[in-house]
Amino acid sequence: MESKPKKTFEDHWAEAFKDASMVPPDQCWDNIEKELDKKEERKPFLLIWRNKGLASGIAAMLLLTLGYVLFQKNGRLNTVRSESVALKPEIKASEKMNDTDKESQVIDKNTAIVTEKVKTPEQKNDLAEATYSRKPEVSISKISVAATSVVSTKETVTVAAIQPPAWIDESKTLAASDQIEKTTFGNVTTLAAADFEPYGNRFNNKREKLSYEFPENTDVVASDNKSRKGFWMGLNSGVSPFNPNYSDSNFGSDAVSSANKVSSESFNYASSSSVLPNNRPSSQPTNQIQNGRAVNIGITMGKKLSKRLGLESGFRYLRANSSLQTNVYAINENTGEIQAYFQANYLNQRVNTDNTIISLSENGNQAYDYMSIPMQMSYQIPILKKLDLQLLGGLSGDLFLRSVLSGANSGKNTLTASNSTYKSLNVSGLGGARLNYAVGKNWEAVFGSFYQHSLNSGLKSGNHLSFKPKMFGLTYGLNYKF
Amino acid sequence: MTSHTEIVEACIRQDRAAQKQFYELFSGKLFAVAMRYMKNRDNAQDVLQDSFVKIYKNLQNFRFDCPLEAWLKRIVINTALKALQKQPDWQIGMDDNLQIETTITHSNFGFENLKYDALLAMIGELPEGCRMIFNLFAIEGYKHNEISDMLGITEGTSKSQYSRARQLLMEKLLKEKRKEDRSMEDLNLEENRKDILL
Repeated sequence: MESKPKKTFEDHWAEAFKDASMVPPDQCWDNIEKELDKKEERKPFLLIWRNKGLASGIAAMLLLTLGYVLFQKNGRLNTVRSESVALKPEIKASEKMNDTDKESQVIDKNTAIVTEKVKTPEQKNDLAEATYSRKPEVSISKISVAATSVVSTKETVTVAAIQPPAWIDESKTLAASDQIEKTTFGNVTTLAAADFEPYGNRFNNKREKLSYEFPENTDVVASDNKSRKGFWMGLNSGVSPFNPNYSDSNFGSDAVSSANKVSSESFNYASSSSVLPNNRPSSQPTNQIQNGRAVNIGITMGKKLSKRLGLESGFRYLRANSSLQTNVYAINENTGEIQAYFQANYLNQRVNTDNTIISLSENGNQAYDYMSIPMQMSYQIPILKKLDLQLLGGLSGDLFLRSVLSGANSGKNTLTASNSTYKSLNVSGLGGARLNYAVGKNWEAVFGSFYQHSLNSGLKSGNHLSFKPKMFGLTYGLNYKF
Repeated sequence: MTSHTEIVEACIRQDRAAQKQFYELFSGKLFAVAMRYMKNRDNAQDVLQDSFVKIYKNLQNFRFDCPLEAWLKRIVINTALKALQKQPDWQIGMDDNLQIETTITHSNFGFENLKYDALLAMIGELPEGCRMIFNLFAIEGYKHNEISDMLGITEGTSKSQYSRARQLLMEKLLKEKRKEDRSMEDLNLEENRKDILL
């Protein structure tokens, strides 16, 4: 006589709770009913606002990019300022001007622009003894440098020394009564316009004098206004067909071999259920991915680098979709969860825990959310007075936010970079042509086309599938030129 | 009598009467499942409510490829696990450094005279992590590698938590058994005394 196998500790517990039933509280059904009557709340359009960390990261990247672009030129001005010795607020009053020779050099970036040799005259004792004090608030509207020129300042003391502008080294100050060697003029008059580019237009050669007009109410030599010109900012959007461009030649063989591995005993079918007689493939596996649509919206910021060339960046939210027709499913026998085989095997990579069946064909949908930071060079070609053509090309860093798969059989599944094989960061090539039409003084309407193609597969390595989405569509928007 | 398939089809059509009938059919068993995972009745009720809302919204995806009850149970378990994982001390409950003691070996676990409520109370007294893993391993029948995937923990953590749960439960069972033996002895003594007096 066979003895019954002894029950384990776990068997006792499993048996004790096998058909356990408890009466739930009365209000439970009422609460469920209320919940079912509620309408689904709309999710915010931009998913990014739900993730503060992501939003901060993107904002920081934008600031860095634009900061570099915008202040590149200002950096040059700063070089001038730092190379010129800064003025002290006051210079000691008893300082004697008995140096034999003083050489003044104003250096702009790499080259010496002005060289003035100043002889301190012994005969001009009053000047030698003269003291001068220079205060920051003293403003000079005009400096004239000439052998016989008379310089006046706002100071009431009989001071003959010229108060130089802030960018001239105080130790190399010109004295009006000093004799300036003729060679100095040679140097001064041969000023290279390009070297004084930021403020060169303020030097005027008037007869035998070289005159420099300072901007009023400021002691800063260079004006920042010019560096800010050519900056634009805009709100742009685009629509296009979306080709997810999945490629895998092994799908059919993978699906059939996976389906054949599964024994029909794996499923404990309910007696009342209308199931397939067995799980053997009864038809050829199909997995057709069809193109969908893509819509993007974003903010662009750009800067002119030269007359024609410019650099444009910004950020863009992209929502795209594609459809999937498949008849191969992966079923988790423990949970009863059903997913398209395409998702389970390639995107989730969890087919080992699932069973594969080939069943009725269904149409599913896949939506994709990306946040992109494009960086493009632009070349502008004027066509009419108010119309110009802009050619663009560059790269885009695409941050994968999520993808939602939904189908009648497999339900709704959300994939992110952490729970699927999608890469979080991708790089795409970008290009396009736009027509910019000036509307008013600062505004311009933008209309054109764009092309974007992923340069790397959007899926992590380890499966045969590649995902290189491409889009070709229309873009439109409005720019504000500063 | 209406079959399960018909009720499910009516529920998919958002027939409220059918939905209630469906609830009455399965709520008892599903509430018992929720009670095993959650610490108290209120939390179990929340889990049951959320589960039913999910069930009604996703019933059209059920293709009768597996038993309906298993599918429903799975939804309740998932909802309970999510609710527990949302708790702030979830990671602390999953401490890996628990000592594994398997010294208690007793052939008679003392289940014989224990009622369902007493067993449920014993599970309820377990620390959260232990309780979750004990339910999944001993009652639901998941393997440790599957549990580690489900909860995002290592297989070692799952095993150590289970050992801890097993040890605690065995101690409780033995205590109950001793208590019962003692009361039996008292009862016998009382009867003997009565007999002597008579």
